[in-house]
Amino acid sequence: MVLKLEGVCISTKYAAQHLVGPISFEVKAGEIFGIVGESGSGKTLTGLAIPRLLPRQLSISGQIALDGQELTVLTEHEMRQVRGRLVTVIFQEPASALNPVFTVGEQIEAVVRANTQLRGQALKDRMLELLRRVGIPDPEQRSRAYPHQFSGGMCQRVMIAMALASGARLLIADEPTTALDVTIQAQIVDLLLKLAAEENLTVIFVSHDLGLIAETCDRIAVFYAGQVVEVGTAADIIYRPRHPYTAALVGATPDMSEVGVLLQGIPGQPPLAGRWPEGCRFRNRCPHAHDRCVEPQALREVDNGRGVRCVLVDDVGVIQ
Amino acid sequence: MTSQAHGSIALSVDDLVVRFKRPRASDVQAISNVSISLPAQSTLALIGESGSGKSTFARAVCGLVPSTTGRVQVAGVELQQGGMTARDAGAAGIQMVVQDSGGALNPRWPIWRIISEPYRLMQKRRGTELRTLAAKILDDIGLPAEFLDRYPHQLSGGQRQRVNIARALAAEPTIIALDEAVSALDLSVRNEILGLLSRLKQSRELTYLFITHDMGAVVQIATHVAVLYLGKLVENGPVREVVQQPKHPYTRALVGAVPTIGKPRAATVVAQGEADDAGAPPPGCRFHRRCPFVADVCRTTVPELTAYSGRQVACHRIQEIDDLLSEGGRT
Repeated sequence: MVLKLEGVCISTKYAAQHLVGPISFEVKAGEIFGIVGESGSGKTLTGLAIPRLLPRQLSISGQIALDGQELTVLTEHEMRQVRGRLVTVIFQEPASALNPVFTVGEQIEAVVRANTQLRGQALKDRMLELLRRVGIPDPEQRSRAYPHQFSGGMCQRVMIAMALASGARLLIADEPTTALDVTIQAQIVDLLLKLAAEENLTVIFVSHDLGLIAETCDRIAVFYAGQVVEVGTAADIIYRPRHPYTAALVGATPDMSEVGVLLQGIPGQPPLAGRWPEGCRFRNRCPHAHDRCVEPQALREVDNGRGVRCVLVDDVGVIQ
Repeated sequence: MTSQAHGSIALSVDDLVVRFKRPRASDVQAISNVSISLPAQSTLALIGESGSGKSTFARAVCGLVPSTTGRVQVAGVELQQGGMTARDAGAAGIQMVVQDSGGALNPRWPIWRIISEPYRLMQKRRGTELRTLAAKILDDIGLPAEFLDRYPHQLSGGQRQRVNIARALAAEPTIIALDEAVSALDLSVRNEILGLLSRLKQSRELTYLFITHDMGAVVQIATHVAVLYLGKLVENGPVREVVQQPKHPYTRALVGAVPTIGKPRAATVVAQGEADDAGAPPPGCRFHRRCPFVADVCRTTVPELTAYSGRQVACHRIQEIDDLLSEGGRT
């Protein structure tokens, strides 16, 4: 399972510029790939573009290849075969992603039925096994409950069970723990990572929380203003950031070892979507900005398979 | 309100109980016999997860929900019990800033009118003076004067939260309760607001009651930390003790579960399962069903908050657990 995005742009007819993109990155088989960025950076739209779940008003251009199969040219009918079978999504609000009028058991069974030949008792057994695997106690009884009778954490476990039920090899998790308490977040993240390892799933983990992404992912793409500004291994991004925005984001992320130290914010505000400034989109907030930053910047490959979108990368080296 | 010297108590809450009635169900005791005091010019972070009662505590202190029993004192002066209103709390020098920065501002009013409203209400100021007063505060909180004539929807979340802080300051408070005031903001903006709060605390000699679930904000600005679990205080003390060397199993689990950059999650204690219903808390220690160190006594007897290792902890087995975990070699 390899996912390759090549020049992917997401646009609306209401803005002259693309809302997101062009985005290019590659996710390797079995990898946990993190997408991190602040509100409006385009991380969620990119995650939704892969299974083509974008709202109708938005259009995609560029290539999205999943195991060599080009997804952007598929008809909606063909795409339905890909969704579920190859790629599935877990959302931030599990309670609203579940259908309120069916029991959780029925909803998981529906996914199993759509993707396998299992019927009758075998179908029910599979559903109960899935509930057990995602750590829902007393599955026989709980499978008859409705989503509103479940806590947020339990609903997210059900969503994970449905993702497993589909048999999809690529799982896109969009802020899956953001609405949860931190002790529950830890449980859900551990569960996701355990199941991903057991099933050899490829996971794209989208979050605004750099700490969570750093802890969870093998490689990370940092999004800013609709572009990838830096992509590389988790260790490179966290310990040796080379794009000034990545460096600022790392510097703004608290680590619990120090108390009473105020961290730097990033002055100014990100540009509005579709009204991007010329050249480097971070230059108005960048402490290193100079004349050459008014030219558009490409994502240039530097060391260790890392890409950085900054003209200064050769001059500045590791930005601390 | 005159400024208080360091070392005095700005806010003291004694044995506070807040109970909500529910139709066809038992009452919810959202706050259960909580006593906390805030030294002048301290920042007390009240932390805990959803349903712990931390927002209810802030609202009770601000007179926005009636406390069932208990006492609230501001600078040693007791506020009217039970029937205390938000106006009483405001007059005593307590203001509040909430998470929903947009919802807290009147969408039909320009910023100057929003900010100057406390002057009109509390000091009976009138006329053009109001705008001048608003301009002065706006400058203080780092927004340019052109914002005076804008409306809330024209502002970003960070700017709106600055306006909320400005309005709170216009009431000339000594204490500000900040209820998840920075939680909805992006990291870069959040740090700027924390910096602003820190500066204002110095220049205006403020005391903060900082309600949050965000440990990253706690380590930056708190001087003291109190941990609530299902309406009960489980640990309370200076930030260095409570966050850097947590002792109560719940605090250990909570702090250990926070993802950080730079080091792997040091989960010395993992909270099992999920929190019980606040309407029907378990007997004994309210954390016992999730605690890996549970013993018989925890299931039957409510632990008292007692002094331990530089803070207060409510745990029957604190000494044993502490010995066990320090032997186990914490990294």
